[in-house]
Amino acid sequence: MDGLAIQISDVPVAWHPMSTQRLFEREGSPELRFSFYERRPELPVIHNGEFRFLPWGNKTDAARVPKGGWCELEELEAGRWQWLKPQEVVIPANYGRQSGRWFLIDSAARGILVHDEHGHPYVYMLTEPASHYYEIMCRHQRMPVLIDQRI
Amino acid sequence: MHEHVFGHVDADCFYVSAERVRHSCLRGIPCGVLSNQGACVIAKSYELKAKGVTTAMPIWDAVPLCPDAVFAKRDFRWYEVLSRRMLDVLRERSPAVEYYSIDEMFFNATGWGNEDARRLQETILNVVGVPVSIGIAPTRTLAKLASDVHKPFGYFVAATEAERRQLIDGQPITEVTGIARRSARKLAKYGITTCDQFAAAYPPLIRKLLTVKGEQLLYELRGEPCIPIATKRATNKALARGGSLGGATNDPERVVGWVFRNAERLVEALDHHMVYCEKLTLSLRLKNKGGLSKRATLPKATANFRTIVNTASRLLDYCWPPFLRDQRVEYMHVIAERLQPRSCWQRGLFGSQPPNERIAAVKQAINDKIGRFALRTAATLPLVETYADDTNDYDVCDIYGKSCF
Repeated sequence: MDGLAIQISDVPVAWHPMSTQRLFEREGSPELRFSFYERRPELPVIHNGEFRFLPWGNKTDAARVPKGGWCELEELEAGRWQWLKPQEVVIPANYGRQSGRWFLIDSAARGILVHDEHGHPYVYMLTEPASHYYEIMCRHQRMPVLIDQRI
Repeated sequence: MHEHVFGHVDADCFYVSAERVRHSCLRGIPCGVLSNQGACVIAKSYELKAKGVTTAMPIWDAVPLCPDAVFAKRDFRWYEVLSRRMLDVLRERSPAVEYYSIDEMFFNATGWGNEDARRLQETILNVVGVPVSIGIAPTRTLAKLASDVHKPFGYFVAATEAERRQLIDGQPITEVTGIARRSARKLAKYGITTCDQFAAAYPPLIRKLLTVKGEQLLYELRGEPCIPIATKRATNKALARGGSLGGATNDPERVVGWVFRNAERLVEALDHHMVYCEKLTLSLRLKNKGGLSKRATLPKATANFRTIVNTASRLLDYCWPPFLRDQRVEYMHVIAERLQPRSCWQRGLFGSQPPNERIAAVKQAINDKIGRFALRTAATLPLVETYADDTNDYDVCDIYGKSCF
């Protein structure tokens, strides 16, 4: 999943002023959109009960955290991210986007939060091998790990 | 007032409306529900339809027409829940209801007027959450036409002759269920292109062109009821299971896997309807060669899995012989015909019950307890992705009791 959207009504009011650049309308319905292909991509995250926008992965060589925006569930479970002390986060979303196709998300995706040597946060979206359905729908071999939902 | 008055309730873009019941974020935006394989649009919202997206269009053609469209995975278990809620609402209000299809119902609407139709619409929206269109008229065909042409969320009561004329005048004949393109072409040769022209036509001509079924439609459009409400489902003439293979394939193990899967599902359907079949047809569609089918007569009327799957496998060799094995199969149906009720069937003169009848009973008992397809034939093992997705365990044809598909 390379992008997602969350309806403005699901975003805490305190975050509305910081969201103007992300604001889009889908047939008149306002929503915030997040894409990994932005210069400084971010994700909406709920961590320790708090809603925040945090950087989506790492696109630079400067930080000592993995490049990219996704963490494979198999790698996480094999302990290959253990050195970063990952913490689980919830990525709330109404719609996900992959290869230009929007699909429905029941409530949220799963992600992990890690910090670099300077204490800067990075969020990676968890992925798993795509189901046959997702692979045909989105033409992609990995799919997001969603909460209480499997496409 | 007419002696018989028919009502027809039709849910507006039902699968999409059903998704909107549990996902309010889909309301007002262009959205579609995708087919079993995630490739084709099987239901579209009116917003998506306005962008030119049609039913059965592949997602890769739909997205360029409407890049903001949101797609949802189909869930027939949920659609059945809402469908049966609609049915319950109707049964509380009418003495005779026909469960026509998952999103359409006919009912006895004797004495109903505009206010009753409006109130029913409101009740279904409040209780079920789904918008519906309603037609009330002196015949089934007129009632269905009335709800169809007043979509979305409309209603029309054709209680008087003037209202019947208003409903049919200038209406394209293809709006009538039962008159598809081929029939319309036949009628067009005689200058019949609208419902009023059809209703005014000479009945023997229509019978000649469209058989007695077409003639019935003519009388129905004139306001003379010919087709009653079927509160009980008519006995099946045939039962079929099958569909897309989830991508064309010429892998023999996968094709055989689909024969077994469809045969297993067919036997379930035969058991559900308490019938045996005497004939079996295997129908295939090859990617570049079109449709092929072959029928066999079974040694005796049966619902025995082993007999049915062995016959279907033999038919596969006829339909897809070795010299065609480079051709990819994309659709398959296994069809049981000449059905006989188990309470009264012609037994064979020789032999007794096949030896694996007990195995089938044990298998059924295990699956009833653990889940459908928990125990299944090993030949289906190549279909990993189909069985990995539990929404494939329940399709629209698994919703029993409907009089139509």
